[in-house]
Amino acid sequence: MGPFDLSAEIGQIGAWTIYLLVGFAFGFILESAGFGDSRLLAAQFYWRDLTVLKVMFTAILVAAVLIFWSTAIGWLDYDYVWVNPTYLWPGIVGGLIMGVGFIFGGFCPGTSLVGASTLKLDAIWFVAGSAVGILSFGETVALFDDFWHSSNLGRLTLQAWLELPTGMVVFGLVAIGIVVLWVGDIVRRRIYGDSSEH
Amino acid sequence: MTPVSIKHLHGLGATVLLLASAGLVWHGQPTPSEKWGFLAHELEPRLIERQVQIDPAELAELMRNNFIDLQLIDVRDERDWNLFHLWGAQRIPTQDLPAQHKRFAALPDNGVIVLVGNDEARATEAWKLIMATASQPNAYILAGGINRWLAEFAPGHHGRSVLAREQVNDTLRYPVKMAMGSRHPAALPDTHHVKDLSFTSKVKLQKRMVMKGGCG
Repeated sequence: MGPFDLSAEIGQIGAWTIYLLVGFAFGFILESAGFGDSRLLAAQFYWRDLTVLKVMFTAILVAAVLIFWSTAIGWLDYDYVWVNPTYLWPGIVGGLIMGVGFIFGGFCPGTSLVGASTLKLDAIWFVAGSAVGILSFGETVALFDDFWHSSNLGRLTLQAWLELPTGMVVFGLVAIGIVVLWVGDIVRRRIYGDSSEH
Repeated sequence: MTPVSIKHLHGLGATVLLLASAGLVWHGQPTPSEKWGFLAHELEPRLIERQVQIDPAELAELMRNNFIDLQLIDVRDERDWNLFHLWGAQRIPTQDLPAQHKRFAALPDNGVIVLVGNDEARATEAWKLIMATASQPNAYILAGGINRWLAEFAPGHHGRSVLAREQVNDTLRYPVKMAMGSRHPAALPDTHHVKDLSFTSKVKLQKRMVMKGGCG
């Protein structure tokens, strides 16, 4: 039953090889979807191009369905899957900072690495900026440690928060996702016409 | 590929995803007993080989070990609990254990859960429930339960006769004359008494391994 400790199952070299292959596939797909281009990423925020929303949302929904079906049939122990603990207010503030950085810079951290790997200058500068930002955070976090660790809600999931069965939450998300993407496409075409999307 | 075909693919994909998620509503997530069914082949041998049933002397040592975050969970009924229970124990009936799964899953790496019944039957069922709902590797069962504990540590000479009696439905066989709870001298045995006892140590602290990830 998963998740598996790859190092224990196939050794350290085997685990690193798997990580390398997964990373390769992830980067390959992001680049082929056009996520190495900051113009495409920024266009998301103007509703001019919904590729980012479609790809990411679809990936999230497919992953959710796979994870919970795997749990349902005993292939995966969901209790052992890492869910980032929710620190509510730090998460909101961090999300705001990241959102502003995303639209200013045209990248999020992962896509900046995709762009940098194809030697796009804006991506390379974004990666450099991220490194400086991460270093600065590390050196100053002690000053706002109380806030950073505040409002800890623990391992909070949608199904626990809504007190609904997991299947119902996943179904609801898939239905909402399909509607949002379909309506979003209609809105985009009304505003910009058919040819605007990548 | 023509745009119409791509649209059909999008529609097909959306339909498949919707049907798959609808299937999740119908099938549901595994109940604790179903999850035990998935885990049994891996965990049942630990019960059979008595890897998780710890000697009363080992528990007595753990009770005085300041480096261990010991969670003594007494799953007996209220009457037996009032008659006698271990010092520092909490009474949680077996049916209430699933509601505590977050707490058990979030135990620190030095956290140890020991399940206590009058014998082992009820504590074993509780152990299976905790493994199924919280996947907590540092959960153990008090070998012989309270009956053996009292035979070992309580003053008097009832030990052999108590243990010799037939086990019936995990009942308290040791004659406790009045309800003393954890005020009974055997609730926290004297260290000198414990030192004289030999046992095979079975508690091995294991990290509750959770695969961490992140996204960019």
